[in-house]
Amino acid sequence: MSANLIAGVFDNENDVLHAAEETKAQGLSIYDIYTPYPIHGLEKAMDLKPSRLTFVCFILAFMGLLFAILLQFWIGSIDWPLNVGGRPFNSLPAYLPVAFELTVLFGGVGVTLVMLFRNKLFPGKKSKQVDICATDDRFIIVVEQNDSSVSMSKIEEYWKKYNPVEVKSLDGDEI
Amino acid sequence: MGKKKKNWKGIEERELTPQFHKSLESEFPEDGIPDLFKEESEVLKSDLSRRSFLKASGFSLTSVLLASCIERKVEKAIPYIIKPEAIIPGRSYWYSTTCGACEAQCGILTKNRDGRPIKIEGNPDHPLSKGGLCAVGQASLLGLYDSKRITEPQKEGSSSDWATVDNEINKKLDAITEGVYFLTSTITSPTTRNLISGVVDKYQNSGHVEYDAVSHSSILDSHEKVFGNRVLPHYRFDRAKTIISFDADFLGTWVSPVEFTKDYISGRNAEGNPEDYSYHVQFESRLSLTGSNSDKRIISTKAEMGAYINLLAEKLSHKAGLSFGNIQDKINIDENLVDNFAERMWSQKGESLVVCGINSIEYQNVVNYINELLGNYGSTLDIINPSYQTKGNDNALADLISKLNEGKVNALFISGCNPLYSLTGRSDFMASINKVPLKVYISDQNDETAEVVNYILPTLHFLESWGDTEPISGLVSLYQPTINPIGNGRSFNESISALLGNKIPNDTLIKTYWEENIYSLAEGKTSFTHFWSQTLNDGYAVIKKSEIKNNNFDFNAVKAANVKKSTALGIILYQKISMLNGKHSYNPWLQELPDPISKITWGNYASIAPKKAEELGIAEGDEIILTVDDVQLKLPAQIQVGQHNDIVAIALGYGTKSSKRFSDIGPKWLQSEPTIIKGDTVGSNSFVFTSMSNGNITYSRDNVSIVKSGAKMKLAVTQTHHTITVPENLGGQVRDHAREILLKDVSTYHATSIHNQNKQKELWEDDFQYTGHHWGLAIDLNKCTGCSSCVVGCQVENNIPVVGMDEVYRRREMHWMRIDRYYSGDDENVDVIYQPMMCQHCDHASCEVVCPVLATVHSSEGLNQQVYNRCVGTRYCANNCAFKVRRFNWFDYAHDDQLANMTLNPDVTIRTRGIMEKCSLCIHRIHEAKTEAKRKNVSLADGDIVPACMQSCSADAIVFGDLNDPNSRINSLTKNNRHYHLLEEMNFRPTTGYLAKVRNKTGEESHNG
Amino acid sequence: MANTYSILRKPLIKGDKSLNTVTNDVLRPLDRKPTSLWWATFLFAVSFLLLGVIAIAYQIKTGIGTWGLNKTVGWAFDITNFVFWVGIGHAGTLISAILFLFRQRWRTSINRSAEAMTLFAVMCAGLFPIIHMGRPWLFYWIIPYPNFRGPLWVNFRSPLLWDFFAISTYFTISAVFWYIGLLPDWATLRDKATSKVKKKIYGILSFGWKGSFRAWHRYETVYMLLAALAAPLVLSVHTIVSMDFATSIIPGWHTTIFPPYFVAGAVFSGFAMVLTLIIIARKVMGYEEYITIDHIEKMCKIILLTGGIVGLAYGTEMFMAWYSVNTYERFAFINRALGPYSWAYWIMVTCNVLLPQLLWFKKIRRNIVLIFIMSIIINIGMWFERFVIIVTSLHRDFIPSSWAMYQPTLIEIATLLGSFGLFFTCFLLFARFVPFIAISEVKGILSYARKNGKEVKS
Repeated sequence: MSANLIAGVFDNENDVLHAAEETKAQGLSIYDIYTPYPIHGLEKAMDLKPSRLTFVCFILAFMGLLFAILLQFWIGSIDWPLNVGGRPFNSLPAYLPVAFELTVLFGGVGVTLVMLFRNKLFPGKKSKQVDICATDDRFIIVVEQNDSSVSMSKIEEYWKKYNPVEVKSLDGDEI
Repeated sequence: MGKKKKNWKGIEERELTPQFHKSLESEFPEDGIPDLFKEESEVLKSDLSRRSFLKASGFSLTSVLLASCIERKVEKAIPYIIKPEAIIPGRSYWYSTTCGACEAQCGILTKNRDGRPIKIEGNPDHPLSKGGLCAVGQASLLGLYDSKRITEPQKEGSSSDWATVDNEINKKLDAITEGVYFLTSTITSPTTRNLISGVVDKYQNSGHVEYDAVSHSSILDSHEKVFGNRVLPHYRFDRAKTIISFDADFLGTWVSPVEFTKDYISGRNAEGNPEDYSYHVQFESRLSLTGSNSDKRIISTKAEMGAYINLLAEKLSHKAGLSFGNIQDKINIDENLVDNFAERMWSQKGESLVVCGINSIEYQNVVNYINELLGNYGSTLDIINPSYQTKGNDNALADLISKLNEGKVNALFISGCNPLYSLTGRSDFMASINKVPLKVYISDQNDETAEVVNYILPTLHFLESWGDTEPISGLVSLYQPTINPIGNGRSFNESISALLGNKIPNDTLIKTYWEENIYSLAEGKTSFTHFWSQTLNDGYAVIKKSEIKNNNFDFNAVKAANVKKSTALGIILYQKISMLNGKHSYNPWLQELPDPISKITWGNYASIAPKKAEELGIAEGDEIILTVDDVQLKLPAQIQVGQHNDIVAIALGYGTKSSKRFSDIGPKWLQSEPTIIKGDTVGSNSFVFTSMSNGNITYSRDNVSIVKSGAKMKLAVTQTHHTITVPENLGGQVRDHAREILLKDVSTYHATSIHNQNKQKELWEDDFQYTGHHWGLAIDLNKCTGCSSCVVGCQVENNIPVVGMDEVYRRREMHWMRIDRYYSGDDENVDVIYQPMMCQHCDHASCEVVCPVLATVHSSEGLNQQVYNRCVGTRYCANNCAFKVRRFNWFDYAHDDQLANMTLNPDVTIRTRGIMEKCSLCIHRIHEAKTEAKRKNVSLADGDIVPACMQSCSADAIVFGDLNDPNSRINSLTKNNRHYHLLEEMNFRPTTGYLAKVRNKTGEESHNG
Repeated sequence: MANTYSILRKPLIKGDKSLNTVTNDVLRPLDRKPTSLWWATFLFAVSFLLLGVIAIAYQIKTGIGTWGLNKTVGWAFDITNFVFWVGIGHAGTLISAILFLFRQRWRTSINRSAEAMTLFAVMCAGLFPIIHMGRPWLFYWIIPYPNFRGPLWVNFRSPLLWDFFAISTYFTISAVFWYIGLLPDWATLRDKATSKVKKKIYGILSFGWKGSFRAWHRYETVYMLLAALAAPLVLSVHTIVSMDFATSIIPGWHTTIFPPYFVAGAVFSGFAMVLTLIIIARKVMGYEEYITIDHIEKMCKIILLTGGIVGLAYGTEMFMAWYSVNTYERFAFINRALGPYSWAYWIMVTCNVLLPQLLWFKKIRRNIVLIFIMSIIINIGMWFERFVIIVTSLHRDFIPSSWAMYQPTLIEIATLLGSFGLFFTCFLLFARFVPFIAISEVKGILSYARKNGKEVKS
């Protein structure tokens, strides 16, 4: 992307939170925020919708359940019906433990993979960072400077009262 | 197996064996087969079935091979490089012959597969054993494949060849004019007897001494005294309403146990009229198998028994209006008990039987006196057509020994017995045996005797040689070879005929003898050939009885046995059902067979009554040293209930040289311990305690002193909790697995009423209606005597490994079926109940549900099946089996004795390490019978299928059958009001059921009736 | 989370901490050379592990006969150890999942290590069902995979099969949960790393995490979902393990109370093991200010609770045995308390019910040494609980003729020691190479009850 980006580096979760809100209030669009740990409230500032992964997880878990039940019934009564201790071919109660475990397995592992995929996280991925301190003790707001009306200085002014450690501009391909 | 076992070896034997046909062409008769049809339809008034045709032609080949074996070229019985046209591989062929394991001479059938016998079973048609066979008989198969047998003639301890030994012996004999003796066990074979006398008669003051390691001589001596003839009566327990036995273990080891068991059980039919139900009183000082089955046990020492016998005789003589003479030194005994017995038997004259197992002529005299007074001779004891099952003569032995001492014996031929082992009690014999210049041992056993003799002429196992026998007067039976001899042995008869200078083949010897002597006694036979074939086919022949003229009973000869009460501790020596007199101590199956009472395997021990043990501060497993005079014996102590307080009981037959082989039996691993230390023997030889008292070998000693050595010895026990009651301190409830009732309650009793008041509701509708067959087993606890032959039968049939002492000690014996033994009552007055236990084949099996890999599932015929090759060995099924009948292969059990492997049943898989196994209800037999029926295109009849355990049961306690067949025997049994299932409340739906034991007791006598 | 300062609340982390100090504190042990103490313990653990490996190799080569089992007692040490380790494995997920759902913020200082412990414990546990088989080389036969042996499947009615699914699922989910939690810390490590190699390695491990809030947003959702899934999972696992016994017919096994009883027992022993580990770790690795005495006290309270449940279960079992009027059931329990294995039973009662009552006293709950000893006692007690349940029930069941005794062989003991060796080897490696405390999570609660990162003494 051509548009320049402006990054503000803060050293305190409260400051970054308020700075973000301020930024939003000024009608600027936040490109992203880098924090060492999740800070609640930022999603509003970035107006992120609640994740749909919950739904994804439900679907996967349900598929797991379905698979388990069908597999067991198919084996038990169609593919290989056997007289085991005089018990009926289809004994649902006996099938529940496996069904439950597969539900959890599919749901859990599935949703994790989806999450990694959506976040484009995978082993060996190159990460370009604004400031490597973002994983230690720095909080960085990155704003898109998509029209000239928003000047660097203006943004600096918005952020002033939240005493940023530094404000710098960087071009798109840096991250 | 009944009819299926009819076989036609006999005829072709005659037709094809070349000894009878000098000319070559007749060895392969082109008219052989038509002939055979003729013969068959004649002999067996039944038309020739395809099966018997196959058997016939099958035999013709076997016999040709047998013939060819004469010139010892071919070693393999049936080489399958080119399939012999008449032998069908995988089909079993049956030979009827006779069991040579002991002198009882039961009729047997051998199951041959691919030219080798793999199982011995009782011959259902045999008049004596009636299809029964004891544990030893079953196991004696292994003797045939014993790789440590002597198979080459031996000269001074080194192998030689027949020509040399024969020449040398004959040369030596020619130099001798007198003093040639035969020392053998009881000889039941007329031919052999005839041959021996042939030899003996050639020399002056020579003789044939018959000697039984465990002797019944006094019985015969006594009869000689009172009737003038030295005979053993033929006992008829089936005719006796009251049986009083003085220390005679007639169901276990005495004279002819299988025959007696059959008779005994026939007299104890719980469903019959209670009046006809026999009443059995056992006087004994230890708890014997027979005693454990008796209705009343009176625990008494030998002396006390003597007193009882005397008193009984006295009481009866009063009733008979005779006087019994005065009884010296009375011992105070329960008089009115004796009164009752006297009363009872007097009221049933001729319907009672008093037997005595104590080898003392004094006792036997009085017992004969009693039987005479009761008119039992002619009804329950037959001395006109007596039994020849034991002939041992202690007096003859005695003067043989004195002759030995005097050096009057120039040649001694020993056979069938192992005197160097069993006469260790006679130091004079042991010392003087070496004075004999020519000692010849005619035996295949490399035992103690083999060490001292100059020559060993290896004999053949009874399954590989011809032979004949006359167990009781009027009954003769034949041995026929079922396999081409393994090794270079020679039958006893041939060896003797060699001594006579002419080497006549065994079968010729027998045939000629029969033609001359036996055939004449046979009625209604067209030709000798015919008679011979018939006999070979049946395995036996009933001939005219040789009626013996007896004098009238000589009352003056009988006087009260003098009994001297000894207060000190005494020893009694007894035979175990497994080890008998030690003849079979080479046999691992028997060594590992749990004693029915003590449940101990691998070795003998000194049984002591609990009270005495407490007195002496002896605990189970303590090593104790018993000393009588100068003789000492080290043994582990065993606490035995139901035993006399002043008696120590020790089993004979242990500590033999041939048991040394077991030093390396069983799996070896980090913490394993050998069954015995190298060079050591299994158990110790208690024959050292035998002694001679007025002319008879005595198997008891007085004044024994016991010292604790302080060491501990392992007892390999298969059952450590001995009652059906849980320990007192843990609640002490009685469990109802092994149920018993009083005879008087039989009609009113309902075994299942306890549980069936409210039938279990099913959670789900039954998916599995067993519409075809539904196999089941019914076991009558009242019939089971605990003889354990089923255990061995099962082991042989199903290739069950022997695991050795250490593994048994760790409670890992592999027997698929066991016999649980429970005591009730107190230490002195104890009741015993036996419960055969194997897989119950539950329709709602708890073991199947828990197997993760479906390695055990249910068959459409209600069998609980174990799939060996699918099993991964989680042992969950075994844990979840309420009956603990599943057995796990903890190790790879050795199968490295190639010869012993010949016993392996090809129908049953050898299980590998790490998998579960258990009773399959002999599923291979089920399939065999099914295919047979299919081939014949008939439907399975009840009784076509006989599992090994049922087959071996001499008491017919086990019945297998189809529960869906309304007319099957098992169905009637399941309807019997004594019938119940184990743990009914658990709703396992077992197809194996039990019939409650019946006790012929009055209410107050019974413990948990 | 912002401005949660209140004088009423006590901070969860002691000392004056800035975000940066947290990072450095946690990472310090990873940067410095391994101490001689670490080496000593590590070699000790490894030697035990080797002993175990040898024992197992010998047993697989020779046969299960090298264990003390017999025709009556088909399970003993093997399954005892299995249940014991599974039990240990419960604390981790419980702390990370259930406490997370209950918003117990204090969990953050211990969840990383507890989860690691869980993984290793489950590894040890999983070992036993495999080697206890007669033919372990065929263990894969319990997996229902399509095959060419005709239709040949597994038995879905068998609790052992349920076990297989439960344990493997539990291990997978726990591992995923644990690693997801690790991602941000790997990133921190990567960014802190000085050497190229380390940067590379951590770079790969961190999946390229850079703390983007968009990622955080999804991350949190998934973390919550995993917690929500793992919570019932952790309960189900020991429930299913308990069904190995509950669904069988053996008196003393066949009890409906087992699932809750086993789960409580598992948490009980799990927390005890966590305590054993962290009490040492916090000292040796200097995490006293992160894993504070309050943490330990809180865990003691949980132990007290679960221990109470276990005690109740013992009582209920006894009562039901009497109340059922079932001879076999009654006998099974009388036999436990008074029979030949009563010594084991009373060790169990003493260690699991009687001694833990001391934890009612605050003084004791806050006494590190006592708690350490207590945690070990409880572990012993819980091992014996499983031994008692398995062996005493089996050795005397329905048919008195088959009653038998069991005693372990050297091989079995070596195998047990070996499993401890494996456990501690893994844990020591973890403590050495992985952030022992969840950095990002601790940072998240750092401001809790603090003013500008300063601890306020009140």
